[in-house]
Amino acid sequence: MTVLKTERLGKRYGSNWGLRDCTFQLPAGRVAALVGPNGAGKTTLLHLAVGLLSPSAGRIWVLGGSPDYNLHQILSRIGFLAQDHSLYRDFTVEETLTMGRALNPRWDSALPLERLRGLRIPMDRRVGSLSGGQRAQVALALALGKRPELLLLDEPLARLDPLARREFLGSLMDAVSETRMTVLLSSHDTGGLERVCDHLVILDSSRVRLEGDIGEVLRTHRRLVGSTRNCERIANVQAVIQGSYTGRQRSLLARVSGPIIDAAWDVQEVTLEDVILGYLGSSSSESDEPARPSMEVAR
Amino acid sequence: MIWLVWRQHRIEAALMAGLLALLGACLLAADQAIRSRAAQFGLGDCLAHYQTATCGVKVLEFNQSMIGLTLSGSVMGLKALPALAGVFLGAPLVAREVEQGTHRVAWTQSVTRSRWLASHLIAVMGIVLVASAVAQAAVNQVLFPVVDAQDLSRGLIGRGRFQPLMFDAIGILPVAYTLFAVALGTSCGALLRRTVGAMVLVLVLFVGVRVSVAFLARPNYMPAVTTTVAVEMPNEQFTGANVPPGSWLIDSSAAQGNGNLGRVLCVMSPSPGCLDHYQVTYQPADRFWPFQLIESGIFLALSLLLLHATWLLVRRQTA
Repeated sequence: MTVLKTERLGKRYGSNWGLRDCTFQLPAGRVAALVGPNGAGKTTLLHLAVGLLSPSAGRIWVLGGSPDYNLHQILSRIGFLAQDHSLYRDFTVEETLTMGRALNPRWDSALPLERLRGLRIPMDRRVGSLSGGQRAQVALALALGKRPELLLLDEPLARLDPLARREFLGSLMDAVSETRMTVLLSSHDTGGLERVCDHLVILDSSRVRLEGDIGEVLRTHRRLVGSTRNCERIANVQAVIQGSYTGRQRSLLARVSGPIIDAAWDVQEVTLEDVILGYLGSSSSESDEPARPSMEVAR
Repeated sequence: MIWLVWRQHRIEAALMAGLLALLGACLLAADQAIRSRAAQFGLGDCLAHYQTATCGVKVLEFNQSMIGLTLSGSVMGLKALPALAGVFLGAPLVAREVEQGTHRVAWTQSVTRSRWLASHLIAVMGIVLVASAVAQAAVNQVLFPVVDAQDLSRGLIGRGRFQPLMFDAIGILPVAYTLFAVALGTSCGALLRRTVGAMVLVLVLFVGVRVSVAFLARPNYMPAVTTTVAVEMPNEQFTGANVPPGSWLIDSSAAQGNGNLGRVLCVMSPSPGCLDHYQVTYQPADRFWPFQLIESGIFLALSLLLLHATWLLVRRQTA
């Protein structure tokens, strides 16, 4: 079952496209990382999914419905964590949860309460006076209290220190293992994603560059290191994503369709970070477009 | 939803209650002052069984003392209240949410955006309606006796309930202005998405609309009555006699072809048939309530339009 699906989805801001020709599917039960540099269109995509924006082109389906027509039904089934963990800063933690109960008929009172108690977050403190990590946890608890089938998180790790980041991902993993919900979380950096995610969507310059199961992605990508003289076709290499030169050494990130048996090349396995950086690096070097203005910085 | 609305507006509600209490205290003091002054001039008896000869002078004296008093200042103060409601309750309603990013939380829960907006508007408009109605009832209690007295003094035509300073501070109009100001503020906030900018814009627009309606539309709600008043002495000034007390004098000009110039010439060299009457245009005193209703209707209709615009803006509001 597909939880989130887009088809040539686009969003234009004036004359700039914040997202363009975006086509991908997110199968149910996945924990997907939506990766791309600032301004790639990650926030735009997530906002389109929760109806905070409406598309300028193409279509989007969330849980089988269109946010343009049945946003209300969709919203009651998804959790959304906005960038910077937007919350009412003058509400106490307890009041924030009361708000969740007041605004959501499917609210689970016990779950967020236990979660925050377990993290020793004081319930009577104002949200504005909490640390960034604690505020992120409150925002997550508010989203989880809805018992969502799909959880969308917009840059949940930005602005968190490494410890808070680890704790946040831990909380997220606990929740996922308990509920089997589908998760799409956006991030502009790559560290720590392998631990939680099993699906990858790379978004760059408002287009989807790569999308798929992380295990599959890692199986089908290899780093080839060899001498610069080797220029002929290599068997089983479908595409060279990115190439770099260091001295006489040549290093290629390649998508492969099978084992590479070529004495001229040293074949290495890749990490998720290698793949992401390879795809993002290749687009910026090949792209004719000037650097896109960063929407997230502008905000 | 009710919980959220109450949680977000409880401070406003408390401030409003405080403001009402303060206003009540001021009105009580003003009422005392006016009553003691009326007693001092012996107006009570006089107004009970009205007799022109003796009463007119007393009313005139009373009026002059009232006008010199802080009354006009206080009435101007009352007129600022609707604008304050627009600036501090209307403008931030949507703008502050968008500015602080909290709309991303509020609008992604299981409540539709329309319901979110409707709940907030009903709460704020409800609080404002009750508060302004209570306040206005008290203001009317204090000011209507004053305008009644002013209307009775024929020598001061145009000083009573219809004078621009007074007309929109009494009756039901201030309540309509207040609701309008809040609706205007909310739509400005939804349009600009900046609280401070919306506050400035609502103030400018509110004053603009109020002034234009008062000066351009109000004299024309109903066709004015035109009458002629005969002039007996060559240089007689128009005093307002022959016009019902409390009427709104819109225009009085010496009628003799050339208007004022003709009048001046006639005064300089009186000749038979030169200046024989004044052309007087006025709105009769008994049109006070119809005019109040018409103007309230205009502002309430504008409020509905603005609320509809706000709804459209919020529905289309993007991240």
